[in-house]
Amino acid sequence: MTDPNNILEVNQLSLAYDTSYGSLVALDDVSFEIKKGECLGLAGESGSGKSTVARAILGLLGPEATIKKGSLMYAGADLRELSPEEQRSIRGNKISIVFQDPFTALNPSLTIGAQVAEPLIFHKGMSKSEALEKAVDLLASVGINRPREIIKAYPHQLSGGMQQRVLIATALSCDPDILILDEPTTALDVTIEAQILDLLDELCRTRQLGVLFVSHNLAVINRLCERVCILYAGRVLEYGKSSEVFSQPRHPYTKGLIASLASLGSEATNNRLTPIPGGLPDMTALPANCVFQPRCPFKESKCASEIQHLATMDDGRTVRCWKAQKEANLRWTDLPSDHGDVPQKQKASFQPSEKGFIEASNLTKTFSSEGILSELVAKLSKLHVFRDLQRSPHVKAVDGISLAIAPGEVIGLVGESGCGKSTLARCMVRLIETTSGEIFAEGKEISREPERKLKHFRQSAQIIFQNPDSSLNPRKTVGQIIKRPMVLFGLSHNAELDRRVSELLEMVRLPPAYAERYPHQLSGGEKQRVGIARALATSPKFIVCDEAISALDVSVQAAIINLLQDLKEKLNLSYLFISHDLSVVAHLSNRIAVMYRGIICEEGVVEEVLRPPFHPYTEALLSAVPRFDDKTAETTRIRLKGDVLAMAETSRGCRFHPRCPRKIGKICEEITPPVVESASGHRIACHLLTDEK
Amino acid sequence: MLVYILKRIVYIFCILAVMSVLIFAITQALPGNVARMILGEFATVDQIQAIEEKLRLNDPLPLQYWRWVSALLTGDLGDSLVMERPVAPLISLSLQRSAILAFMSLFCVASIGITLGVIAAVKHNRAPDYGISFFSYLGISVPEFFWGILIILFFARYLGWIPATGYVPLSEGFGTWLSHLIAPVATLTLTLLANISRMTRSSMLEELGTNYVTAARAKGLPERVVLFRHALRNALLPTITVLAVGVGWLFGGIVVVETVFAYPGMGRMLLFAIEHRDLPLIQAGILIITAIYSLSNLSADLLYAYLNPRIRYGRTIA
Amino acid sequence: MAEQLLNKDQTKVRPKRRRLPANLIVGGMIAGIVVFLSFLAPLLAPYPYDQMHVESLLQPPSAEFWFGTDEFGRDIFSRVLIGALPSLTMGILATGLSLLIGVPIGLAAGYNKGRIDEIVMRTMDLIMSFPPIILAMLIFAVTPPSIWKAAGAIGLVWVPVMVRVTRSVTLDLMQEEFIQAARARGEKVVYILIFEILPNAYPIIIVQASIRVTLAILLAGTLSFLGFGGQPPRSDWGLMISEARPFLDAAPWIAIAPGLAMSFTVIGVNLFGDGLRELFDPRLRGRGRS
Repeated sequence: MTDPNNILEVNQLSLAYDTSYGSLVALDDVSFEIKKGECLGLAGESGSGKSTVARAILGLLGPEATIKKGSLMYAGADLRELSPEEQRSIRGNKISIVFQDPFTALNPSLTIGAQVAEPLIFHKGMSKSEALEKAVDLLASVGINRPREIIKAYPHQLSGGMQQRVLIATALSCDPDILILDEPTTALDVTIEAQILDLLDELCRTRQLGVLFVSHNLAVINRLCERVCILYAGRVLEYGKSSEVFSQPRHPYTKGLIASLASLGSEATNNRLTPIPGGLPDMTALPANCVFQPRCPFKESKCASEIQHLATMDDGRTVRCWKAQKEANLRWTDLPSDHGDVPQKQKASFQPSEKGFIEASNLTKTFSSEGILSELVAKLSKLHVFRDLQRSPHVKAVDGISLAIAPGEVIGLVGESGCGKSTLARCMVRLIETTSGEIFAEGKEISREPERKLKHFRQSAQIIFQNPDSSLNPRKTVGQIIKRPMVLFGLSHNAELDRRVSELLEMVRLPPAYAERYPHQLSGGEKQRVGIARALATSPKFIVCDEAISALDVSVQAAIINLLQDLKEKLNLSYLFISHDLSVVAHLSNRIAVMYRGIICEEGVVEEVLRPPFHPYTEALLSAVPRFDDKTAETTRIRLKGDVLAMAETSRGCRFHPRCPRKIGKICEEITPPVVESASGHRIACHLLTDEK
Repeated sequence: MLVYILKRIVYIFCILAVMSVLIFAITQALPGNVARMILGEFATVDQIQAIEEKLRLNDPLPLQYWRWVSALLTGDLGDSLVMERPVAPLISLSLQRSAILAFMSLFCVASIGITLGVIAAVKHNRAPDYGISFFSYLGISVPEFFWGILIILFFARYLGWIPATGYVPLSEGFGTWLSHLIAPVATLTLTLLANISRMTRSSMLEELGTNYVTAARAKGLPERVVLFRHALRNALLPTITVLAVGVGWLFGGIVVVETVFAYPGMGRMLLFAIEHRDLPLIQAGILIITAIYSLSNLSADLLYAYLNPRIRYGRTIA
Repeated sequence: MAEQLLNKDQTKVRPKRRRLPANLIVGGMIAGIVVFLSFLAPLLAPYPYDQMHVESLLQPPSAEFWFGTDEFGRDIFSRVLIGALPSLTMGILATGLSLLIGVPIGLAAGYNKGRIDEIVMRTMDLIMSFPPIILAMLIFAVTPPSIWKAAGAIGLVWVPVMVRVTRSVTLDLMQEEFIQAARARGEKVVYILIFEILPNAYPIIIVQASIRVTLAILLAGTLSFLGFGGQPPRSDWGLMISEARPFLDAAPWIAIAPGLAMSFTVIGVNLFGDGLRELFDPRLRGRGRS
């Protein structure tokens, strides 16, 4: 070992998977080291091989993976050369891991206690009762209340945040030297993510752990890690101190990634994001030499003809780009915009016209439990074991919400998962029936209209979905998919149809030849573009974007955000833009509505709602977002207690009071806060408002 | 959990009630003249009148049904027309004999089937897996009556190891009793085995691919702990449901196997009743079989619920 | 892991060439041979199936009688050939019937979660509460046996299975966003069911149907073995085996020939079904049936 402080050294690791598509080089010449008490971030998009690295260290690669060369040095030995039995004794003991999805990483049929205690029993030789006793301490140390009760519980009885804490406790049980965190917060809500990150931050500081933090989220890595390693298509492209890499990226890819992020605070100043062109590379046919060159705007012929080596820069970081030193200061945003045809303009302050295009008034949606015996049927009809077995009887997903969207306006709807934002949106386009309340479209009440009278409304209101893999019928070509709405509404015929399809494809910046393709022949970003084209086919006036960019990789997101923005301006569309990502919402919206448990607790123009936030929930959401720019926000951070799903239904008072960090007192528990509207249309429901007066 | 059990029990009783109406309707109400059906095409008017009187077939149907059901509830299953004896003791005796077959085969199917399924999943895509798949294929592709005949030909006729057919009561010695059971139990097991082993294999494979099994490996647990404690436990849940469905097939199998091996059980009795148009015997027999089937489904459901913490403990606590 | 790397955005490349699963080919060939022989049986059979050769009763297989003769001196080979058609007909007829009734009901039940679904599923529970053979026996207890009725009875028994399979695929697909998109633009229910759901549901339905064909052949064989199928002197595999039982000692070939023919057919269709399953979804390989 070169440095005695290094507890893990990954040297020139190359790894290939054997697939039906042929051999796939998943990692090529990956090197990094983890020091004692240090947190190293491993950043990359899907296909970058970041999770493969984590599994290679643990020796958990499947039989289809072969390590071609390189070494994994731990405690003076190469992990690769250990016998399976020796590897096993290190796993979970000296090196442990926390996986991405806590919902599936816990065994549903074993108690929490049994699962936390397991490593202690097998690695430390503890008796069952000793191990359970230790498990109680461990759970307490990761911030779980009532640990004695929890060890007897089963995983499904815990919320996601709690489950992740349990997994962290399990990973820490044998006092490991190295903790690998594989996207530990990606499956969680932003408020819960903030809690878990706080916990991890504390653990890193108090224990002398070496942490490998794998994530696609650069801001999270920036918050937690001293150093960062940027992976792309299985290659390390940049490796150095996070502060330096993120403030002054040297590799074009890193530059592009950071430039394409929507950041809070930029919403008023910079109207457009600068995306990385193209999509993620095909892992079975990677470009020669520099893997990033097809998407790189700084590309020269040398990029493709010469092997790119990691070169050490003057500040000590390493970058795999021959131009990195020379053009260190060239910024991504200096480049010409991706689409010259759209003029860059400042986001005009939006003046809503008198009448909203679509308006919900006092809308309520209650989900009731289904037939008494439906659970049996669900069980017998499929052998998927854990589906549909749990349903709570009556849930008010949307509880008396009023919301108006004017023509050409974008309303951002934010809130934790389960707050009812999707339900509200689906009610507004009549995808699900409302329980009570009214919906007006262009002044006409439509919430009780029968389907046959809705034709005009259906044509003018459309929806774009979250999951590109599920939003297109796999058995139809892109052309058929886009044509169908036009045929249904009789908008165009015969030859004109094909012309319209090309036109729409062009509008979403796809080549017309794509009309012949099937969805499986498209990438995630391309599928989402087709979904947008389908929504546009009826020339709608209002589109619901239900987490429309959430499933996309960072470098592809920005392009879709820009596209949505351009289309809005060109076609004067209104959007109801739902996202859990506050920065994207702030970037795109005119107004923001913050939802909590079926109600809107704050609504208003973006600048008024966010700067500074007033409602404690908005404040908490905002301070939970990890960000690059605003370091001061971290000191004034407020945190929410608990988890929205685990909270008991509050029958009286403010719904938010059990978690509210700024609770005044009895009044919050007993009286529902009234909605107060300012002259500018900023609506807030909070007792603090009246308290201050 | 308690609510769940109660719901299931009430539901089963509803099913049984509807079932009794259905069976009664099909046998007694649908085909028109019951007396003619019992006596055949060439019955005289007098004979028909006699039997109509005897069975009181001229009463309104609901009354007839009520009489049948109320007697049923008191344990009176009526009198056999052919044997002119009460049905209940007849059925009870043959039911006992069939139950021996059923339980023994079910035990063999479950123990051997699950073991084979686990082996096939663990040795996925290797020789043992292929071997087990091959025999599964044979098992499900060869009809049980042909299995029975092959067993008779080979083990009884050619090797002479076991008696070909018949039944001997336990009082004549354990050895002889058991030797008469081997062939029918083996036949029943062979045909049901494949389903269970295939199901166990596939749910085991599914389990081995879950994140929590990967997580268990990442904890550095020994492979046997990963397999049995983490994977098999969950993999057995769907197997229970398949086993319950298997009980339904077992009834069909028992009818066939009892015919092939001349085993005097419930199946043969039912066939006999159908051949001789013995209405009370048919009604009682079919109702009892469906009741047993429903109860076996119920117990599978309850076992499933018991083994699945998601049903046992519903609420979220933290 | 490799899957994860491939699934996202890797889809532009198709596998070089999709190889047909081996069992699909073998199974298809076996099934093909059986279908071919069953249709040409009257031409291929060396003797009429009911012609009695009184001078050669219970003869073992020979050059004259390939599979031997039975107790009436009838040629077993000819009878086995002739018996193929009713077996296949039963399998296909019963399955076809269950598809015809089950798939529309399943689609409707999956689409209309709620009252319709509840009523349909309760009815199916009821039918399923009868063990498969027992329901058929109940029908034959009151009416005279016939091959058509046997096919009908088996078809009826399969209906709940088809309903459940179709319903559960439909329920899954209803969650898909392209179905939501179709509903959001106000498509008619029938359009959604036929043009959006069915094209995605059919692989699973077809695979299930192929399983049901084999089970129907077996069940039909069992019914005729028990005397509820075709009646003598018809040539029917199950019936032939049943009639051969008294002569097992003297002439085992009478039972073995139709038994092997039946097993051969069922293995073929089973292989074919498994092959289909692999073809449609390699991940489904080896899934249990019930």
